[in-house]
Amino acid sequence: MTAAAHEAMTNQKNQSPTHGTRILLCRCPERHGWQDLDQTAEILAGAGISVRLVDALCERETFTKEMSKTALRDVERLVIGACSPFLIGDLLNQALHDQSDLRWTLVDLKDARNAVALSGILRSRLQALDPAFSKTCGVLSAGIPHGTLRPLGAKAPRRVLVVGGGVGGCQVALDLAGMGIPVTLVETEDSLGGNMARLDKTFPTLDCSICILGPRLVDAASHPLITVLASSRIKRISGRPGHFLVEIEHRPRYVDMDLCSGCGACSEVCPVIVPSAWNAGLRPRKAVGIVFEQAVPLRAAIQKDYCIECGLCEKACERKAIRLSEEPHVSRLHTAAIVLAEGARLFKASRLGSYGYGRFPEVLTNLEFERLVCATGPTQGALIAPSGSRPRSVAFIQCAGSRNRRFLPYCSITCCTASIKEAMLVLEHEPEAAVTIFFNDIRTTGKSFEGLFLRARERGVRFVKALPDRVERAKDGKRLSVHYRAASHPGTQTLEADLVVLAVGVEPPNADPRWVVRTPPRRDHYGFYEEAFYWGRQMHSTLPGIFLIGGCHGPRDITQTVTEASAAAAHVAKWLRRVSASPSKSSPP
Amino acid sequence: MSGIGVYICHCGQNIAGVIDVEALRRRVAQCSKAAVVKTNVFCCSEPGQKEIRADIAEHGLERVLVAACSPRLHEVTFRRTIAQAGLNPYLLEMANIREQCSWVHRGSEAQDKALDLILMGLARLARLVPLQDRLVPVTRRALVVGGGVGGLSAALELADCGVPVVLVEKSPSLGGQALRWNIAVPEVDPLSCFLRPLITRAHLHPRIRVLEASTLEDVRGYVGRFSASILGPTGPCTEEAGALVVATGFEPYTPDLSRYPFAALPQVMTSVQLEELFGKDGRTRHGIPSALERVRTVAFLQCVGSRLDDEYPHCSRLCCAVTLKQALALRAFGINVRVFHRDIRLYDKNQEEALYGRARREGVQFHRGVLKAVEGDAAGGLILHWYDEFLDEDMRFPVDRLVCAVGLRPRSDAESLRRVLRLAASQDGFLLEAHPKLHPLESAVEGVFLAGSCQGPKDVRETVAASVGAAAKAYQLLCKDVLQLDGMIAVIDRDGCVGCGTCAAECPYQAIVLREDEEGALKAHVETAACKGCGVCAGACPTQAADHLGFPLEALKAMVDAALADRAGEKILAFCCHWCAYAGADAAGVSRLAYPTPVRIVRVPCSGRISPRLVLHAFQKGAGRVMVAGCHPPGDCHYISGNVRFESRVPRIRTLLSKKGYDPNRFSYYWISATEGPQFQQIVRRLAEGLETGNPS
Repeated sequence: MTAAAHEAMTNQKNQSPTHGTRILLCRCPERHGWQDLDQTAEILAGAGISVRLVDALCERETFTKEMSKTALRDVERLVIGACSPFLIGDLLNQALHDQSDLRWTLVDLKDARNAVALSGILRSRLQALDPAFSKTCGVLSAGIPHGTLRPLGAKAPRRVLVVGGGVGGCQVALDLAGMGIPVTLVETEDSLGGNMARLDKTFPTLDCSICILGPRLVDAASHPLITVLASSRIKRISGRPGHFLVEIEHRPRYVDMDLCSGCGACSEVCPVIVPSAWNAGLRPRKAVGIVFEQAVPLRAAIQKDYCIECGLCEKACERKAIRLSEEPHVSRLHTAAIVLAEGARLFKASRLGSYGYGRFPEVLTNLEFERLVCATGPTQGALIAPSGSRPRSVAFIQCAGSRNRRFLPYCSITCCTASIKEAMLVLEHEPEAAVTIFFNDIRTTGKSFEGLFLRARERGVRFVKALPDRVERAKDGKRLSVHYRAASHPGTQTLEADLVVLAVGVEPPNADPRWVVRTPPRRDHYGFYEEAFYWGRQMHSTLPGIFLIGGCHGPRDITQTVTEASAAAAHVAKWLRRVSASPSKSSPP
Repeated sequence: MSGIGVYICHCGQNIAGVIDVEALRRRVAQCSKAAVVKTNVFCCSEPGQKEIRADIAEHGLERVLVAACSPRLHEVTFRRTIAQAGLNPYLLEMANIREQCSWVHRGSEAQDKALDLILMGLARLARLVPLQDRLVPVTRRALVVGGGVGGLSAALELADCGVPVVLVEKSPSLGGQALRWNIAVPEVDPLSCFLRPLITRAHLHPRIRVLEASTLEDVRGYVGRFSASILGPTGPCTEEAGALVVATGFEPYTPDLSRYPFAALPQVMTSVQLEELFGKDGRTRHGIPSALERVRTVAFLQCVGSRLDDEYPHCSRLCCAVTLKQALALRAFGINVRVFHRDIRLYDKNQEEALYGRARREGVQFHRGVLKAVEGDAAGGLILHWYDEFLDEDMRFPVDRLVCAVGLRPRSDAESLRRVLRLAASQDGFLLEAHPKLHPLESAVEGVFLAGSCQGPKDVRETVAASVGAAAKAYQLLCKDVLQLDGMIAVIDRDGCVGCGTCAAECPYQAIVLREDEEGALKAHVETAACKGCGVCAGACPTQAADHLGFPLEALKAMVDAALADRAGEKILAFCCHWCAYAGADAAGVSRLAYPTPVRIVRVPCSGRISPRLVLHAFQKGAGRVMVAGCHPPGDCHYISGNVRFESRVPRIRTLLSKKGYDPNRFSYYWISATEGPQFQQIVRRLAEGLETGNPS
């Protein structure tokens, strides 16, 4: 530290410390009423620093009185002790951003243990506002997370990265592009669509899922301002808010994307048959081909792990698009903001040993059931149990993994309505089937979901308040036997079923790019991305410039995801405006 | 029909599972003179669209018909496809052989009907004309209706983007429902700490004009150019705006005493009233609300006003979480709590442990079952008679107070507001979104966005997210100076016009004016920028001088002819409006509600498009029955009043039919909303039965 800085910091005879300075404290009894502000004021008065106390700074009258240009006429340095920057920060910025002679900072009065600690914090923050002090020390105090940033050499790039090409990622990309903001959309799979593309129908209207999603994917991929990078993953994110440097690793598809026309000739001749991962392993596919019928981009890709390099696809391709020796490559992207839209992962049903997933082929998860009844699935939409017969009895087991302290202590929100939807699909295929849903609570809270629940009951779906103990092979050796204990009935009962569908919950997204930043976005104790603040900041991560939508910060249905996507677009646009504006010297460090 | 390409979609198994698509293709190739007739597994997919574009180039196609799903789904998609190939996007027709055929019919009848639908489509397609989109200047200002937490969030978001905003609030001050919620969620800052700064920001924002104690009386205009009449304390004023954001919120349910007679007892209150007890002024020194000082046990009754089979079978989403929050607050004062419920419904992952788990750990008792009765006891408390599901027994619980966890309902003034804004309501009475999954923030009216709980129960966080999202949608409109609008509008044939002024009088948008032409004769003239393309003028015009460019009279007649070419007397001709009735028929298809095959649907923009002569024409061609279906009056019509315009013509239609020798009872009209698939099914069944039994109605 230089001598000048040392002097500035320890300057006891700081001439007229109150000249041009003010400390303004807000009592807010509802929030931090336990903080003894009178004592704080006394301590500071002892050091010659005067303090103003108000009851509720954010109240219109009080705020206008304290923050008007006249009120702050003689103030050069202002420390405001009030609430969280997420509550009052926007209001302060709105009121003070054009008062160029004022340097100010905000202290959250919850952040100090007691009056003594608080007075110390307030004093040091006041000192830090002294231009002489901060200039020589070069200290960038923690500051308010959303405050204007230190002036940067380069202009912030006007581009946004969206991680994840499901319904949420596509929606936010379209909204941003609609505002004229260029977007790069990165998706790890070979096609856009995510989980929604795998559903057969969506609740509560029983719309065909891919029919309503398909055009959105095409819109996103064809928009002039949106660049889609499929088969790619984020390897590394470094930099700082407003200037992120992203390394993207592109998985080789072994097919030239510009030449491939999506004709499918390669998969016709390929001799290798493997399970289709996109179809949850239920359907076979060739080692080369298009991942599903409405894929966007509609180009082939080779699953190199299974490829025997026979070269038949190369010969069959009229456009000479096969590139067997393609290597992964890395590209870099400079972006001002990142939207995380990776979605949630499905809980691994095999962890529930007693339900027999993995042991009995007739035990499926919700998503596997969707693939089964979907026209593009393994049976072309016919409801046939893996045993080969048409099911006469189907059982759904809710909360498979969720609301369980051993696995997922939280509720996965969408499973109740999803199972009820699927129960209706069973009856569509097999009007005479006996469908039973074993539940804990039926949580059909969304708009029109209760109506679906009622319709299911009217159609004869049986709802049993019991979560089964186990699923076993029935005595006849063919069907399954679900053992459960209903609350109002003594002893264990059994239900024979041809198909058992487990409503598995969702887990936080797995792949975390290597965050090489000072404070990577935090995850909560469940592992989902943590929201910056309870009120009004659900789509902000704890790192400014990184936004969250959809399943990556908690179980979500399609409607919520799409809503959040539009809201996030607004937040991103606001962020871009802030990082590209030249910060005025009045803003606090 | 040279230059026409027909594409028949398999739609996976959705169509091909019922209809022999290849056989259909052959018959279409035989019956029509289309240059190209092909099938495709998914016409809307990239290769499907590519094939169409390639054929346009290779075969010089000029018009395209796609026989697939509903035009409500993919008309825009295919218009873009052919536009990319250089064709005028309006030279496209879709034949709905999925929602209105393969999903509701079976066998050879489905096959025959699919052919009919394609031939009908070709009849219209041949008579369409190339049209141009209109460019409309945008008023780059926004009007936000409602000053609660949703309206505030939307207004601030838009204002921060640089858009001037007018915020209209009915009550004397901003804040809405959130002002009444005093009990904090554990570990979270009080809601008022979030709300107050928003209110102050709105008042002080340089680009927001707050109009308190003001109501929205009328809205005229269209997207990009709305004009709102607002009545405030100082009198009426008019505000121009390019987009509207509706954030009018909800109302808590007030227990109906005929259903909840005990709600009148002094020991019974609603959850809203409990919140009020926790307000700043009602507390004692120790913080406990004075009204609860000597209370030992409080019972909560869930689902009051919600999940009612007969009256309101909807869930209000928030009540369980609110009860848990309130229960924890009461437990903090040592009050015992019992929660009487049907299900415990949470909607956010954190609530499971933070609210429900914590409540159980802190000794809140939960009872699952059915309420039998509530009565006062001699000591001034209550006795709850409860059937307990677990014990399978009737039980009695003495408690001191009962809190009814009331649900969320649409506002009581929702209907008049909907009329002003021309918005439809869903089954639960809240505002209807354009699409429940993919367009939850937009209404069916272009330029009018839905923010928050006016669209359905939401908590504050969800409301803020939806409101900011709605603002983002509005901003995409308002960030441009010019908007591109549909080219399908009305047109007046000057020679045929006799200047009667009927069209001008009936136009719901005041888009037609009478002007003197060069010879001094009064002629009707359409203000193209204001025209919404409903066709009411065309339905009203006595000389058929007014016509609709997208649904010209000749095209409609040709569709009728094609529909009735074969066994006309067995057929039911149904004119259905695009926005409601046609969507209702689609909804019947989506829900797989089978109905008799003889019905042939002709899509029109609005029931107001239907003129008496068109109905007569159908009977002259031998139709067994003719029906017209539109949106429910008064408020559901997408074009404000097209439906009632049509209704006013019904007596004339009946008279005309009688005069020409047709039984007027063979004509009927109905109101079918977009969600009323079952009703559509019932109506068609009744009409078909009538055909069979010879009974006219």
